[in-house]
Amino acid sequence: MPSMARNCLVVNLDRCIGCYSCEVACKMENDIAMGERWNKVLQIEPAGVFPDVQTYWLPVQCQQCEGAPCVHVCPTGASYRDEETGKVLVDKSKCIGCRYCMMACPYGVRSWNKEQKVVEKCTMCSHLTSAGEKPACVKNCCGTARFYGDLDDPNSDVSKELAKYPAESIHHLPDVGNGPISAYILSPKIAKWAGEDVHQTTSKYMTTEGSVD
Amino acid sequence: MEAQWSLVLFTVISGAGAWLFATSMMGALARKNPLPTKVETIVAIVLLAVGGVASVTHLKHIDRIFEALNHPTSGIFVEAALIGVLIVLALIYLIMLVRKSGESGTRIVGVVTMAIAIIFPFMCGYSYMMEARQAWMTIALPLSYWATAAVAGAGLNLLLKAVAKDEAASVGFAGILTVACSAVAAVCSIAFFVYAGAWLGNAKSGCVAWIVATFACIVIALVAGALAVKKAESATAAGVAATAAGVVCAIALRVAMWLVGTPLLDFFLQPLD
Repeated sequence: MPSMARNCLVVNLDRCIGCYSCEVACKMENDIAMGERWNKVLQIEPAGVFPDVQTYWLPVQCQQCEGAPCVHVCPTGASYRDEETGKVLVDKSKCIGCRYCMMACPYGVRSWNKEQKVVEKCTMCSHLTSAGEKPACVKNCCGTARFYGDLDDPNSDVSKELAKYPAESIHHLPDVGNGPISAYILSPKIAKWAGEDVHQTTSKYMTTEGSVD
Repeated sequence: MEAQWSLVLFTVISGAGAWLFATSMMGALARKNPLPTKVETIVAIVLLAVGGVASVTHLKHIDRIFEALNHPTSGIFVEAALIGVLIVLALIYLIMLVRKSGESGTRIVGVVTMAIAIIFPFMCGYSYMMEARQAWMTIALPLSYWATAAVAGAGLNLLLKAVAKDEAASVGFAGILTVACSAVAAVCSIAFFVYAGAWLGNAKSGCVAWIVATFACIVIALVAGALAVKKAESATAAGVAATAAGVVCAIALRVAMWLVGTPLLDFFLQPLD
């Protein structure tokens, strides 16, 4: 039996210019209502002392966790892992709107659809990728900073991009046992990765200014 | 994080009903009172049912509830299964009482019902242990859920026995159970809030007041239980105080739990209300 694919997004923050195109493209492609989002660009605020200050932009969306807590807590199986693509998805027809998955997501990257009263999230544009296309955020990234593909396929865009960088430049959001597989590339020469200190990320350095509604 | 009132009321009301039956059955096993009466059993069933209804009020698509059969290991499924089994067992017990079935059979059903009634409030709290809410990742959380519901149930048991003018031994033992449950609740709640205290700085406002209310009400319930032990023949007022304090302490602990439940990261800032 073939092993499940590990499709995910890889974002090269060395190349991200904080233009918010991925946010806009995501909203347009998936028809996401005002105030709701599946993808969001955060500015990790300037840190350091002048003239040695640094900042970077951190686009966040579902991290496609290997031990996805949202799947574990969902009482109906509405949140599930697709056996073919390995993606964590939501079957909205099964969602009872209990929002336990929103509580269980360590990153708060699930969205509540007020009109349909169901939980939604990034699908990595399954409707496009199943037809061989790239997700809208990847296609529309003007910095060519976003990549989509299977981590287990050495010829995928994500594997090839990650292979260009040393381990010290490859990062994941804080792991509390959920095993996020989406990866970020941030070289020390560009900025120091701030994601290790979760308290700082939430209270000190993170802003959402510029993020679209 | 905001308090989810339907879930607070669910675990408090149904937990009180479960512990009402359990504490009365404990008295029967200790030979301090007869088996749980019809009134006690009916009150317990009503509380379980009302609590169950409260739990579904936070669901936005109750029409899809049977989809829960797809995932029988989730916390919500376990809670629903336990409350369903508990209500059915309590109904069977009640029918056996009404039909005046043999005491040994009724006792066996009562013991099984008591066992489920003791497990159920713990499992309600256990569902909240999730890595995304670091303040909740302690076994002290389900234990304090379990113990504060016990204070409410034990207080109600004391009240019903006092109102029914049970024998002094029966009322006195109900008072002892109230004291014991209050003491256990104090220990469990201290353990939980000491652990969760690290996240208090990020908690929603009012959290400290709810924590203070939790312990104040535990003390009131404990004192009321002790007074009932001392004056078993006139324990109605103590029963009222113990019940009220038990319910409020259970509510206060849960509200404080929600308010201190800061997410690990909250990128989308989507409120759950």
